[in-house]
Amino acid sequence: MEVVITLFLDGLSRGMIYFLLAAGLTLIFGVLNVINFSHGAFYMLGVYSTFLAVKYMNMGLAFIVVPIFLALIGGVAEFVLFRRIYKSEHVMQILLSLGVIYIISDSIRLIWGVAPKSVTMPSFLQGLFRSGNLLIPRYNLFIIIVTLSIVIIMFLILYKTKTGSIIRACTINQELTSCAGINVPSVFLLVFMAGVGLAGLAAVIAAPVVTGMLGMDAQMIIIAFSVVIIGGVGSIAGALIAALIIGVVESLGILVLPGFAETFMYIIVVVVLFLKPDGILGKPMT
Amino acid sequence: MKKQLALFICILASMIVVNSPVLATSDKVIKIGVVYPLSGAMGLVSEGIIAGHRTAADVIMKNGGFQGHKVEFVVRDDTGNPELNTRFCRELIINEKVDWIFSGFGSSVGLSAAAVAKQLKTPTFIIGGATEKITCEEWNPYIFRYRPTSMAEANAVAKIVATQMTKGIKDPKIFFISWDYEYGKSLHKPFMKKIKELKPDVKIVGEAWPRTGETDYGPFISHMISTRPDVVVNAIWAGGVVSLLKQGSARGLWEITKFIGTAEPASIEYRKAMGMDMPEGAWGNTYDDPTWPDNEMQKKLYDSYYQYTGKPRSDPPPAVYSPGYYMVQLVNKAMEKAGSIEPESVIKAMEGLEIDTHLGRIKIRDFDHQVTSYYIWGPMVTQKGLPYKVLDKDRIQLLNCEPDLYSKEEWLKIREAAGKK
Repeated sequence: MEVVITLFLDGLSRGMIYFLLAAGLTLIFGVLNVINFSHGAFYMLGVYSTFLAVKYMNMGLAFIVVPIFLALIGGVAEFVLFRRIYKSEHVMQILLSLGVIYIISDSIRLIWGVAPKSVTMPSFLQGLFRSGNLLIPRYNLFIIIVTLSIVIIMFLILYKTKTGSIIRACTINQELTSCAGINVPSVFLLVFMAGVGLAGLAAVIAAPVVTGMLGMDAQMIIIAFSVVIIGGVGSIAGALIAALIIGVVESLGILVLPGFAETFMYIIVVVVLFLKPDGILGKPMT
Repeated sequence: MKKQLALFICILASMIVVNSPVLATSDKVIKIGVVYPLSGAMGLVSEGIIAGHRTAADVIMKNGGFQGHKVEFVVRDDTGNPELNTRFCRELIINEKVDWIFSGFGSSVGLSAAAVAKQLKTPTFIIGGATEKITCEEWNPYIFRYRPTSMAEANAVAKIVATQMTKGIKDPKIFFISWDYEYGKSLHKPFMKKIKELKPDVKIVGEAWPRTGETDYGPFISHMISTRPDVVVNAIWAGGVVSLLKQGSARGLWEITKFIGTAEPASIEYRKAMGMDMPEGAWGNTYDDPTWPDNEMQKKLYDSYYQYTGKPRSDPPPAVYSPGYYMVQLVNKAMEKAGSIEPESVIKAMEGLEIDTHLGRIKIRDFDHQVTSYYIWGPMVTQKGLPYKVLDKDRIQLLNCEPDLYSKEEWLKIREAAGKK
């Protein structure tokens, strides 16, 4: 029983990181209608940036500096590149994102080299939390608490502020929103920056428990897109549910079928697409 | 008559010149194709091996070795992927016309390199692929392997776990973790057999098989924590073991269990990458250690490293430098023995060949082309003033793989059972 509880909590913490990554992607996909395959590469850049931030500052400052840095990079990418292909076919968007992936990957290779990079966890977060027979890594609990707080803030912004209303309006109908006098290109820029900033936040939180390695973006983008598909495009709540399901299934899956734990995620994608193609909380696409 | 005699002398002279081995082949550059992972999870160690190859070649060429020929290395990055490895080995042999391939950093890529060697009849020296299959079921006359086999490693691990790490523990609990691929599988079976022989009361409380190249070991660490093993036996390597150890440290795993790893986690490269995050007392193996055995031969070996690389003496050579160096030495010695650089002759000359290394004498077995190489095993401990752990010299064990290799009779039986001649 302790095994199941420990792995369940591990799955929740993984799911929280997946959610932060996928939330940015679903916002970008939902509002801008852009398939941004480079989202995983931004996350990878975030992990490497965290390594640098912790080296010269500390983990606390990294929580602020890295998401802002990534948001700025995202802003430049949106303004210079992505804005030109909003009305293009999805294949053009995929090609452009592939180009951005190569730019980011090679930049990382030039700056940091090919050796793996890891971030040392702050000592007060290391070790185990003991409760009776239960042993839980402290950092897993930290991830759950911090990410839940971020989720609450996100929902408050999206549903209780004017900015959030505008973003949701753009998701529903861009032209009507524009007719209402809203500067939609500025909203797009803000959403793209926020989306990439969320990837940066996911990277900072994940950095002490993963290893920065070239190629890590490939796995993360597949997970992020799976979360978006299962949760429903543009649905933050759907992304949260989907991310937690995937995280828990991945963790508990190693008990059931150790060599096939990853497969469960794809099975869930297939089942959801078959039963509810728009995703758990997605709206039918027009 | 004089004209005919002059013509005859000219023809005779040109025949001598054309057939003279020194003059006729002095323009021939021996090309060695090098296919290793230079990036990704497996890319941590290749740089050191290549430095060993290049330094040895440099030293040998300065002394007129390789039968007076120059050696050139042509390098490719297979990222540890068997398909890429096959593609690059074939490209190097067919397009670059290399005479030798040095490859196989990893069991899966070792097998793929061996298959290409057989198909294209090119001598191939496999450095790191550990699975028995390379020099047994999938053996062919063109392959040679330097590193000890996975069975030799498995037996060594079982002995250390039984005699050192679980001494005095009743019903010791073991957790086994490895990437889900050939090396791990080939190590798992002999380890399980040996540990049960040596410690019949052992309990295997869990196994984990993350995918090859995994970077996030979270759920596996949580699984290990919940089963509370006495020892974690690990066969993950390169960047993967660094990730596992660091993430395990961060999550408190090493507070409740001990670690022993195969595939060289005690190498200086890994110890430096881990820093003080390496668990105190973790056991591992390595090809070489900068401070042991500290004999004249090791000093000379390291002198050549510092001369070639220009690195400061405070920066110890990577552990894989010496096997990279000795591989090239073996090939050169075989060329000397054969009196030729022609691959078929050199292959024949390599069988039974012996050289001295700073760890002891090594030999290429004549029937399976396995080198009887050494591993240094030991626990890693803190030493004041150093930012990384060192091997505990009082408990170092130098193990040659030969006692744990198949005998010729066993080898023939296994090959017969696999339908191979």
